Amino acid sequence: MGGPCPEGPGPDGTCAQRRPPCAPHPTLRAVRGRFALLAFGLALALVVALSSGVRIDSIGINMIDPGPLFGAHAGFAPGGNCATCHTAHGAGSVAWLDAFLGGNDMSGQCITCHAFEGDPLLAHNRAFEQRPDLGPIACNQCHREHDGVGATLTRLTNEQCASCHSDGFATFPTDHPAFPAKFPHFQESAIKFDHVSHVKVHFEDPKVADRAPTSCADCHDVVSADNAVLPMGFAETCDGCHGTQIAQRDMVVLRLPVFDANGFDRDAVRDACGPTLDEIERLEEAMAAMAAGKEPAEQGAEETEYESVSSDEPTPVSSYLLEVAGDDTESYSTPMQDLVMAMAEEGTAPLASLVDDRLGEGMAAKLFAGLNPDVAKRLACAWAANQEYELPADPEMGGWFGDYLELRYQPTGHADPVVKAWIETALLIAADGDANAIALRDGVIDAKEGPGACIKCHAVTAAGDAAALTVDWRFRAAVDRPYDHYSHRAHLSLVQAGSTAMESTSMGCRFCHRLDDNAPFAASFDDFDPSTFAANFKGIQAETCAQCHIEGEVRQDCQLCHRYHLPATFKPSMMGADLYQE
Amino acid sequence: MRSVRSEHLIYWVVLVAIFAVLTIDIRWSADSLGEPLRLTGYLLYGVMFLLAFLNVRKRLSMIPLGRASFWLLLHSLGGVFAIALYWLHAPILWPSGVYEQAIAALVYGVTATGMFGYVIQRVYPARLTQTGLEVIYERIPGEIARIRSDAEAMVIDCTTTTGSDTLARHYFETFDWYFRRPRFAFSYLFGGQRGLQWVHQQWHTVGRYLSAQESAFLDRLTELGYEKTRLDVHYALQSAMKSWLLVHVPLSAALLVMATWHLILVHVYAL
Repeated sequence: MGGPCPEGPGPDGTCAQRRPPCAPHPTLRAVRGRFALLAFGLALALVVALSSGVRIDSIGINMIDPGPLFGAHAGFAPGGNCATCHTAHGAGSVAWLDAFLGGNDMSGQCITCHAFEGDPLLAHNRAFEQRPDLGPIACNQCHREHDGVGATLTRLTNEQCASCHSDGFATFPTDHPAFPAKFPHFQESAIKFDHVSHVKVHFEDPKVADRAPTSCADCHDVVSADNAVLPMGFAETCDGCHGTQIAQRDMVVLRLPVFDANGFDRDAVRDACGPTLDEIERLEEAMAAMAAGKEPAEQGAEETEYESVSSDEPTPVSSYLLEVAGDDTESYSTPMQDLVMAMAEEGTAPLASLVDDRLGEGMAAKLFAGLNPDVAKRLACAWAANQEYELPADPEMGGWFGDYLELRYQPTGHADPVVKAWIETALLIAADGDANAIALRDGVIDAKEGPGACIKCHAVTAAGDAAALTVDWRFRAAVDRPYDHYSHRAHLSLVQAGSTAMESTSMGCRFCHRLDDNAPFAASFDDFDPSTFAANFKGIQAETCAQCHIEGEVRQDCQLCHRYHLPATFKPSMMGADLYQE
Repeated sequence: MRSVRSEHLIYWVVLVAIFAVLTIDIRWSADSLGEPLRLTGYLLYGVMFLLAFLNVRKRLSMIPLGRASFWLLLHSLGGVFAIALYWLHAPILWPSGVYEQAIAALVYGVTATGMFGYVIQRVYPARLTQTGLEVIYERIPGEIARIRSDAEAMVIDCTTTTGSDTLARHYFETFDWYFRRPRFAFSYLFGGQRGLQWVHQQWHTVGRYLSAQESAFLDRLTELGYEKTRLDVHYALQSAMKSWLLVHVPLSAALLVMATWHLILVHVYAL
């Protein structure tokens, strides 16, 4: 303004050489700062957009992609529903803050579906007394998700095991501890099958040559073999030689004992049962005499001195039910005669009532299943008349029958439910220490007679701390070493188990399972203590496995034989139980 | 100089050793019950902030925080360590999620620009020295304007003195374009000499048509062209040395934001 204008004025009168106003030119550092701020803002905007729920999934673009889920899990997070496992997802800022500061309970989400036989968060699902310092272990320490549909979530590495088991393991032959001497026969077998006596004695007997198995596979189901090669059922194995023996082992449940005096009311017996055959005969004789014009003979027989038809003691069953001493006539006479009289009047009802009162509701239905009330009544009538009951016909089909002075039960075959019920009941009630119950139990499990035949094959054990003994009716797989696993299936073809003769020890099952002739197998069951079990097989040595499981040959990683978890299952909610709840 | 390089070599060897140990440890940790992702993630995040601290160090030059060259060395070591850690942390070159892709792109962008900056800081100063010229970057436009002015004045003088406009016409068809602004920057960035060749070619093209008197003017004009070439080299290389940070620093800022958010996400979702 007002200064010189060397070029002179322009057409409009203003200076032709204008000096543009001074405009500060930002330094490169300043420009860089602005760019950095812009980039910072853009990144922040992207973050805010993400956190505010902007989604472009619908057009096939994943905003955040942590990787595909394992196939079996993918169905539980349909449409990218992360909240199935990540509880903070979509739950608001408070939940985010809580998760950020307090952490995620990822394992808690796993165990909403998965369950184990033990605490799922403890190492190996159980507490170890030797290691009280071990804390909870999160599932995702081993099971890493988002590794793809075909990922192997359950595969562990030796190094993962070595995190705790720090003894060091490089190869199986050099570093694996020696197997215990009894390995793997620690657990008492449910069936007292003496392999030594059968293989070396009975199967060699020419009399059973046509029935004796020639291969282990004749009795063990190699087709479905896995951790155990289960024996086939009784019908496929034992029945050929032992099937007819069971029906011969009658059980005497009730017996008419000796009485010092006849406590039965003759009129009452006659009312309940009608006249006896003797009375009918005498009546017929009297009528014939009268018809012939003669005087009937005197009825002196009734006046003769009472002599009990039985000379035996009552059975332990009746002693227990009536709570009387079996060797004391005075003790049992009246209760026993009352019971017989009641049975004569009402059949099985009094007996059932007595059993249910003594053993619990419903027990009579199990213990006397199939007992015909009429048979019981006729038997009781004969006994009340101080007579032996004459069996109309032999019980060819088995079941209940009266035989002279006894009520007997003949097993119908293997696994007879009535015999099983009597054995189980006898073992149960004996736990109370009652002398009659103990006598009943000892009689029932006496292998020499009656239903004790069952106990010749089925182990009886004192289970845990319980006082009662239990019978192992069924073969049970090994449960004492739940972390061990051995695949028989993978080995059976190697030793040609299905086609190898039982005698062979160079191939077949006996390649590993060597018989121990000196083991006190049968005697080890006598004390009912499973811990004293002595298998009639020698322990398997690690060297047997090390023939193949060596570096460069066959797998030898920990997980091949050892499992981390106790047996796993799904929670009921996974089974659709919720669908049926109202 | 030799001892400085040996010292640097030791640092690099130490860095490689640390990384090797870390790799083995992480591999072992991945195989056992460790959480290598957490370790590498936090380590990477820490290294990122350490790298960013170089910028703070520049701004706080009044505080004795060690020599700038040492910080630059630390920055270089840390940068290489960071990209190696990144591949340990996310062992895939290109993730699938958009957010993860953004982080990967930023990581690669920052790394690429950083490596570019490192290389040119090592190579370009020597090449600038080779020009035999020292000039302040901001003064280059003024110097070019001066050369242009001198050239124009000389061409007019040539025409006036010799009475021939051959050189003048040649100037306005060729050299005028060349002297208007810096040229052939791309060639100089990659070590080319295209500007020099261009000037030489123009000299050779018109030289045969000029008289001896005009040739003297042409030689002086060519000298000005060579001087402009040296300025162009300075302009191109100094521009690159100053402007790569325009990309590197903003990308780094964005990466820090994204990495922080990633850390939050991991804590909210997975830890």
